[in-house]
Amino acid sequence: MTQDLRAGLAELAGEARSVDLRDRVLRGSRRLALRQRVIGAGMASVALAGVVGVLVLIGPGGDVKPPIGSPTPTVASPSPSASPTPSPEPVPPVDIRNASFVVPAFPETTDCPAGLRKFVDGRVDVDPNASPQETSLMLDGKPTMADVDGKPGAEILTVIWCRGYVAHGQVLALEVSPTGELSPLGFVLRSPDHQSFEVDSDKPIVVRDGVVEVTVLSPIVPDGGHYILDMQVRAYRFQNGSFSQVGGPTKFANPPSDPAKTDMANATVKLIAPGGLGFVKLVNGSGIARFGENSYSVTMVRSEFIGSGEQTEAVVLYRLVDQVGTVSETIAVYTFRMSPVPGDYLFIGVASGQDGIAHVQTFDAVGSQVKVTVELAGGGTEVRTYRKKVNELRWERLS
Amino acid sequence: MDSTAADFDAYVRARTPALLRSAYLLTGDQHLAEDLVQDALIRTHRAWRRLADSNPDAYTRKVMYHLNIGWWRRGRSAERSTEQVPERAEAGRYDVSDNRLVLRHALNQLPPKRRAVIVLRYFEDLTESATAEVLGISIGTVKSQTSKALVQLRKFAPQLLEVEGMLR
Repeated sequence: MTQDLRAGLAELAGEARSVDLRDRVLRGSRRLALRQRVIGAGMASVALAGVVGVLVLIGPGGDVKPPIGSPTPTVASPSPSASPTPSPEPVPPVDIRNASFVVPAFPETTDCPAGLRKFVDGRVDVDPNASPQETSLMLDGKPTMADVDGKPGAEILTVIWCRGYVAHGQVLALEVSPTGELSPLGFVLRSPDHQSFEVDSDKPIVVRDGVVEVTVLSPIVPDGGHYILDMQVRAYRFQNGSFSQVGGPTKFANPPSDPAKTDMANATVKLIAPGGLGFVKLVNGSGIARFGENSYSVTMVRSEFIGSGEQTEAVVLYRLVDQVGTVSETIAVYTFRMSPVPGDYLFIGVASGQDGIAHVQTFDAVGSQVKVTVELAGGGTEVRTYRKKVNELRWERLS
Repeated sequence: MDSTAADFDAYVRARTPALLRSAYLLTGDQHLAEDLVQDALIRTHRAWRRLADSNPDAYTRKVMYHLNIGWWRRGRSAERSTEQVPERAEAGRYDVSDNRLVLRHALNQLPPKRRAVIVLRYFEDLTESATAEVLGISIGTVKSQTSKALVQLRKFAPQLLEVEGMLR
């Protein structure tokens, strides 16, 4: 019935990037309190002229201060790097998400030329006069502070996206002056194949002895597409005026020419879990998935390929265990229709909590059909049959 | 930080991802979604003390859906998606899931209240009465808005809603 709509909404909602809104909320609450105070003051003037009852307009008890957790007058400085690299000199706290600084031209695209940008809540339109606004720069992830150029003072490293029709991610190093002004040291991700990979902003930027370690994914995925990927940690050092790669892999392996030879147990795959959607890197069939606030231990239970050539699809059963030990299962289907790209991800609605399913026990691929044994929420087990619709990405349940 | 502030921090961090997903479906845009959730949480923060013994999540959700409809009325909900479903990303790169493009396009055609009904009923899996409570409308209105929304969705995304009995 509307399972496809439900699955479609879940998949679409999975495009939403998880961000920490705590600081923005507290700042906004304080502004709202100030606004109420101004309104209250204005009303008080009227009250002095002979009107009573002003305090009830200010708020219960007349208390206009923020109720809880008032933000500090200055915003927090970036988190110190996990690295042992010491910061030679203290730097003033800087809120890069609400600051002006020059962003160099993005090396991967012409969408974001160099220019002085004024960020508000981590975002700025590239061309403020454009209508509609289609390209923006956005700061992402948790900034890291460390010395990366060997000179006095520390640098701030942050993930930054140039978001046009296709999003390009980079890591930008910013120098901080003693007065808190920011100036670009340069983009960090400088590898021969940098146009083909993507920074994983969910992973922290780590600095060890001045070397910047960044987790990257391959290939570039426009607009949150879901592909089987590889995940690597690459290391960069600032030397001779720019960053260059000094460690980690220098390229991603080409996918096998026969999709059915893809090693699903050692792939980085996109996955929908009860609490979110994100990447998980499997090593020998196991991995840890962190989707926003949720973390899962993921185990690949079974994997089979059906079809051939670009019609090949990988059907994979995963078992997920969340932080409190709740076990769930999901079947993911990865298509290979855009060879040589190894796979687009489909959620076919066979998962714990979907369509009366408590657990997915196993499955068997029989020709173009998949027979799934499920444990029902109401008790008992059932074998359900699914198949892919001809010339479509969709699957349908036959029985 | 006192315990109430800590409770609010924990609440924001625990609930933001889920709220953002719903807001993304309501607005169709990451930044609008962030703004929407932020505005809703600001109001929750202001009301936190009196919500302590009730259900802050229900309050936040209700505020969020009402704010979104208000935004739309004030013309803030500027959809950035194109009218035409793009067939292909730029050369050499990959297009996104066909289903998501079609569904995104179809949702963009819905007025905010119908869109809200669809998100509440089919994404958040709320009952008709719970949906009516969140939106402050009658169950009959929920039924009629759902029916009309599904008809519209079927027009723009027939492959997602082609099964018999969809409109019940």
